[in-house]
Amino acid sequence: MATDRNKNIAIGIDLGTTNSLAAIVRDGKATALAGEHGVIVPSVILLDKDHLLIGAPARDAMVENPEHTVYSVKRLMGKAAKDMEADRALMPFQIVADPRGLASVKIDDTIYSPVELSAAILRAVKEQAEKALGEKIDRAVITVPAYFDDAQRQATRDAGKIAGLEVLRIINEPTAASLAYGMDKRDRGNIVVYDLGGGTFDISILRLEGGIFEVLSTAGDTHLGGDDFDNEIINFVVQKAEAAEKIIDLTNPHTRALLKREAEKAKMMLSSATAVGISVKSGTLEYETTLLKAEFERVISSWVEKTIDFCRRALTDAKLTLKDIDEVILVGGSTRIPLVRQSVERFFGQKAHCELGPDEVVALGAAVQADILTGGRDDLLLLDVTPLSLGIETLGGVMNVLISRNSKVPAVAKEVYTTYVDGQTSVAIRVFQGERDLVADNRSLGSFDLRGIEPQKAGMPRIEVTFTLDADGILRVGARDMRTGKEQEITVRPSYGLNSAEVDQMVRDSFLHARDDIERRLFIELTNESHTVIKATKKAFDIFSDFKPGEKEDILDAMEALEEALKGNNPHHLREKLDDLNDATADLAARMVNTSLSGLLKNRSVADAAKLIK
Amino acid sequence: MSQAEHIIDEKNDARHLCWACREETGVGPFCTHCVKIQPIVDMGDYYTLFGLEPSYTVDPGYLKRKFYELSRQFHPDFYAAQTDQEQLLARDNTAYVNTALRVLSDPLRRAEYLLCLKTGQYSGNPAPPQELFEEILEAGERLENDNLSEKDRAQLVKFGGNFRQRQNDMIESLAPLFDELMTKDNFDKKKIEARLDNIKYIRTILARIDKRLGQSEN
Repeated sequence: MATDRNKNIAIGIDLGTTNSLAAIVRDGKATALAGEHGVIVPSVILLDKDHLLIGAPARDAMVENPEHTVYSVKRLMGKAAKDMEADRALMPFQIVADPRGLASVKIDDTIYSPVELSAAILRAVKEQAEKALGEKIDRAVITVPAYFDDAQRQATRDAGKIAGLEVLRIINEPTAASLAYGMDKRDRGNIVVYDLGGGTFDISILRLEGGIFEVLSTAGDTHLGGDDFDNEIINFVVQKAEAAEKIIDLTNPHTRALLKREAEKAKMMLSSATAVGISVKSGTLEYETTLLKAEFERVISSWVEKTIDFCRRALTDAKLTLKDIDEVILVGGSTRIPLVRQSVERFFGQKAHCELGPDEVVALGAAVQADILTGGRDDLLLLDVTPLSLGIETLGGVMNVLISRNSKVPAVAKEVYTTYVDGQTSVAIRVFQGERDLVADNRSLGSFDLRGIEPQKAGMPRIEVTFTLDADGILRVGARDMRTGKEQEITVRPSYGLNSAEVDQMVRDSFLHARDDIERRLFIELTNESHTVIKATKKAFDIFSDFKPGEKEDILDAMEALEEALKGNNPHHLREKLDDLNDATADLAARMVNTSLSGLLKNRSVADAAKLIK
Repeated sequence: MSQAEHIIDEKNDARHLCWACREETGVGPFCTHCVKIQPIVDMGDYYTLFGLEPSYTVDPGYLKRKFYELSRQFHPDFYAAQTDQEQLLARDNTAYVNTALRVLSDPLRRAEYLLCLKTGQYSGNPAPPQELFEEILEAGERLENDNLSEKDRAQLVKFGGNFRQRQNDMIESLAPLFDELMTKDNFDKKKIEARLDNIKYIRTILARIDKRLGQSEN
């Protein structure tokens, strides 16, 4: 199969809140990979007893089938169910807590984790890429918001694994954008990437010099984006309807899905129009109203103002002033909103750029990074930072920061632990991420248990624990007994994620696999058979020349169609094309056998004939 | 001979063997025998890593250039196709380079590091400078308020400005003290320590003020 020959192929994937897509670097140029619905795969999944639809077909079915359609899964990644209270009321699907309290989605009495739902999206993107390239892909760079914490990054990595991808690297979306932009437009100076997407906001400030892309600072909010603007519109319409004594019941999933669609549409139209009509027809409810651009801007202005506060903070953290900024780049669909653009341009005092297309630029950058990691080029290098401070709990619940925010990654910190009572053999370490003084106000990342400490008097053991944030921004912990130099056993209990055994379990048990194992196996079998038949047919062309008029052309057409079907993943389609080629060659096979072996193998395939003649 | 060179020499005497080919590796970060990446953590202090003599004054432009050069040597991105062991070394080496840059490019951290390097130890005990005592006390009280009034904010902005100015002055005054430390035997360690303790204290309260003023904007 193609996999071995193309070991060097790796794609970049932008796994977005609203839309996802893949890109690849070919001959030094990054291009997005298109499917039948274009390059974008909407991050929407429809799951019912009979269907698993992902992307455009799922999005189109959303209003008709709201209970079975899931969107904005990215917002649930690495979150506890209790973190999602605000969203729950506004999403038409059910957000529940899994047995560990993690935010999950419930459809028809089955609980799906956001990790496997994201895996479903990733796999659809991967398959679209495979079709576009005609080759199998098993390696990728996946982007995440720069402001994602450890749990969210880990969840994204796990989703990649479940989707059958080796995740070469998790990189930050604004950094990826700068890579695509820097390659194309500018390779020196200080640039700002303002990335406002469907669910998240990031600002990163970078210094570009001699092929190095050095992130100076980053700031953001993983819960600020187009979804919040939609919610503002929904609330506005509900209140306006109430004033007109019409009750819009948001607990009805259909109404909610409908309003969501109307809100999205209105938001997009208001990028050019000054007013837009909104109509809600659901059950007995009929309500029509108008949303003015000025009203829209008023309801989202506090969100936009918040993004500017983050810009201010990032600038201070980068130790730069406004006049040091050479260029401002806009990324993410929400930067199409005129108010957003104007606010950014006003703050930075210059025109903002979006020449590369705010939807594609992140995936293009991820593809460039994939190219770097697979040895495609070594002149470019990304140097990124961690968005959040990492610390451990000390006496009184105080956060003791070990690696401060905006530290370059990989980053390392060491801490020496000892015991408090005689004979103590284990020590628990609690790790947090965040900027607040008390750990209770920060996000718990997990507990690490130092085990197997030799029983000694209290205070005698000296165990050095090393906290390393790797290039993905994911924490690795190691421990060493300073006296013996022996590696110390350490077990990890993530607060919001899965341990490695749970990921492996999910890789085995995912609904994705249950549904397509049979189809996939069938496809592989048919692929092998197809290759045999194609090879035999080609051989027959070499050794046989007595064709009927048009026969050779028909066979060539059928063979081409089969080769095309091999690039896809549909076993039924492949079966059909394989049958076609066998039909087209049936007569030829018979004649070949007749001429050489006196009819012994009548009605056998061309493959059998070729075998015999050989 | 400088302190840094001593460290390197001692390591040489220990005869480092390459983790991969078990031959002697020589001094560099790559085995002279099999060219595999070696751990740089034990190879010397931050100054040596950056090709510098220990000194309080450093050229920020040089630091940046050298940092980029070291990153190009060690960054994990360039080792993605290598063995797990090499990837881990690339990660740890890069983390070490990052820490070194962080220390060398910050005047206070650099001073602390150099003092340790030269005198064996510095146990920093942040202490408020005498002349700022009153202002620090008042700033502390205002920071305790749950809700900042306009007056609180204005005062904190004012104190912040003063403290920053004082901090910068003190940092500037470190250079001649360290010149003395590096060149003479009868340097005044106590005086340097006291100054570093003061700067550390001011830095902490400045961070609290900045955080508080930043937070209440949102």
